Amino acid sequence: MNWQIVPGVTLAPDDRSTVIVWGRHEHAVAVLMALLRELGWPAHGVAFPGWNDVALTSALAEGDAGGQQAIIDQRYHQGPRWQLRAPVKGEAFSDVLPRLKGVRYLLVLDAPGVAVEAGAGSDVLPAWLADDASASAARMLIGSEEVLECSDAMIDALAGFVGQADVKRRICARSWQRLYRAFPDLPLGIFKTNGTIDRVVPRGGGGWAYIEGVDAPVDIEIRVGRRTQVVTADQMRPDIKARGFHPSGACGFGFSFKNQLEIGEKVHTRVIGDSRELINSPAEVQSPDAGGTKQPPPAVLLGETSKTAEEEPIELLELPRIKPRPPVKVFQSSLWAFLMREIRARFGTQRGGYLWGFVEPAFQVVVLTLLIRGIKGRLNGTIYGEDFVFFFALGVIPYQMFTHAMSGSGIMAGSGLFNFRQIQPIDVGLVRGFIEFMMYGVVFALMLAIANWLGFPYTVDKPLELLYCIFLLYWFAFSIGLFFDVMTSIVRQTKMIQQVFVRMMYLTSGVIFSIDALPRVMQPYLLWNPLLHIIDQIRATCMKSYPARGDLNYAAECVILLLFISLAFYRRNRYRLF
Amino acid sequence: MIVVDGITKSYPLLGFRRHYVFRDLHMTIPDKRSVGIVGRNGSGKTTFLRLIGGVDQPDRGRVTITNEGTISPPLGVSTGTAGNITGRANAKFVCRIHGDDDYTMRLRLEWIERFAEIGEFFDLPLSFYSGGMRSRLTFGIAMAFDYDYYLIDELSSAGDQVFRSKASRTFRAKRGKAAVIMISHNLRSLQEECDSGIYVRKGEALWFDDIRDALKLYAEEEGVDVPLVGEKKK
Repeated sequence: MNWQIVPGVTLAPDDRSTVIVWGRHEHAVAVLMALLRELGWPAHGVAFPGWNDVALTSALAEGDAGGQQAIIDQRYHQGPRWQLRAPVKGEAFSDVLPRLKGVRYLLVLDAPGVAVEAGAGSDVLPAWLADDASASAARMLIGSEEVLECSDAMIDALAGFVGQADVKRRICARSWQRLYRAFPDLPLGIFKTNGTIDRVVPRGGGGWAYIEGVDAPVDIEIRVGRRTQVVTADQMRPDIKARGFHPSGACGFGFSFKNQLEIGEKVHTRVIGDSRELINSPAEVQSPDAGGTKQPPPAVLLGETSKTAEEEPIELLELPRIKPRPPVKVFQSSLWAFLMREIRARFGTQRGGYLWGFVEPAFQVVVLTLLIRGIKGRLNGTIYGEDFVFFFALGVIPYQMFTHAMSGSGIMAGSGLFNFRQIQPIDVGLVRGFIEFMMYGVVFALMLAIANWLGFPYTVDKPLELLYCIFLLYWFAFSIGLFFDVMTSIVRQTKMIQQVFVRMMYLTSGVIFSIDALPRVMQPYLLWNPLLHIIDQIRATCMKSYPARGDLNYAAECVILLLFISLAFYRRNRYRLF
Repeated sequence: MIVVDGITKSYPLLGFRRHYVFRDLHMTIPDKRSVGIVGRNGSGKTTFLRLIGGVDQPDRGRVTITNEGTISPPLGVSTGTAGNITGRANAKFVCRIHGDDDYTMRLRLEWIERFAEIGEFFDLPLSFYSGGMRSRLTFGIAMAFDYDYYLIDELSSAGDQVFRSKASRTFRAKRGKAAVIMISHNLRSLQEECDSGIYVRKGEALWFDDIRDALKLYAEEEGVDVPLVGEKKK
């Protein structure tokens, strides 16, 4: 398409007097008119909405009054919408021209080929222009077959003509179709649409539609009751092509509604811009089983090619942007987040989660007590001046803390937790250990309280020392656990060694015996074990006459060394843990 | 901008063999551009996404994100959510990871609950969810944050049409503000939602400014039929 504007002519921005758009409908008179009106241009827009093709040609060719009369009759009777008075019947075309004298701008949309060939057009119109609008008249010519589109070229030309560069921004409609969607009341008489709606079932339906002579998809409005939807008829319909209706066959459409349609509902369909409905419309929704002779409706696509009117725009959350934080902060918040999540996962959702934490160590204590009593053959035995139960509880609970806190990040690897970059494997060990320790702390306190309530006067004599022991125990468990996690990520079989290790610790850490009660030959070997020292000291904080052999300084040294080794090991291999 | 600088990534197989997913890969992914990733199963699409997302580490090379850009975790149907806690707790977890204060977290949770549209299931453990509901939740949580880059790993494949439409509308709303890097086997929707493309094949990933070129090559090499949408939306 080739748009031209007479050079040097620009509409004055403050001059909103009169613009006449003159031409045939097929030459996009209505589109240009709508564009001008959208720009606020012809405040009292004047246009000849169109010329009948045949009438214009014949009028220009023959120059006879009858032909002109036909045009005037056809076009001038539209009333006060146009500035021109409705012509009296019988008035000749030449009689109308003088009334156009006040018109300053005239846009002539013309197919030059027709006009020049006819001869009369070149006589009448330029003469009239020269006569009437003189220097300020603008002349716009288009010479093209394809004039139905409101193309970029047309918008550019218009921008130059009205002297405003932001026309493009203000008119986002790039095609006449979209324009008609924006101005549903534009006259669309000359575009002849054709199309039908096929069978409609509750799931949806389909059909085909196009504008005659135009191989561009049209938009179809589908209305059922209050629900409306707009789809584009651009799917392939080989049958329509085969029947010679449409050159490419890309004129089919399909639709579906979010909620299924009721059988018997009326479905109204029309091409947007045309008030008439399609053939067969309104169509009644039929049951899917009935009348299977017709072909089923075409596959329905929603949200992929069709734009539904039901779409509400997405409202995004407007919050301050997430800013990068220093690593310490990230570490802190990750620990906190994971702690909250783990607590919930352990106790929040599974009933009895709390109870189980209590039952497991209690069960062990009971079994051990019964065993030792069976072996000793006494029922009310004491050891170091306290009951067996207390003795074993002080062994079993720290041991449970140790083993449970040890099982660290390995089990979390598959859970998608590390999908968050912020969470590092080390967080898992820290947090899980913390939770276990807190839980067993509560268990221990509960046991103490219950025992006291039952009349057994168990007490913690040195609480601060106990806390220190537990602190050491936590880091001991953490570093051993981390070490095994890293090892397991390198050699999978290490997991088995870990299990053996845990059993071994049970037997060698003074859970079921006191180091003091063992033969002196064995003692130096067992005293290598730092866990034995810790458990021994824990007993000493609660049992007055317990002969403690444990050395907390030795345990602390071991913990620091182990922590260093496993952290270094972790640092070197941490990416394997993901 | 995401700069992928000479990445080599391999995984150990049985014995001492290793499977090389990428060898010396260089690429630059521009800002605010939606990018579609195509390739066959096992070609390394997910690995690529994980490497970009910093969730997986390359053997050699590095990934740099310029201008302190924020990047989402790779979002798949079941990634990053815990099954034994509620949807709300999962959402809270992500909020806390990002260091939200209580007020911000509340706003986010409200929005996520509205956006995910999973009703009362929001307060039930994820083990009761269907795959589609999980993706809705994962998607909702991620969209509550203004990342500069969203990594989508076939998230909508489990969703229904309504969800897919919602997802694509959300991407449209995010267009121009953030980059969406997505893996999908729905080639048609890829064309509609993405500008550029990455085609991942044996040991390499190829960048294409126009997604359709990526799809064309993919179609040519794998002998699959790619429906090319004629008009590219700008």
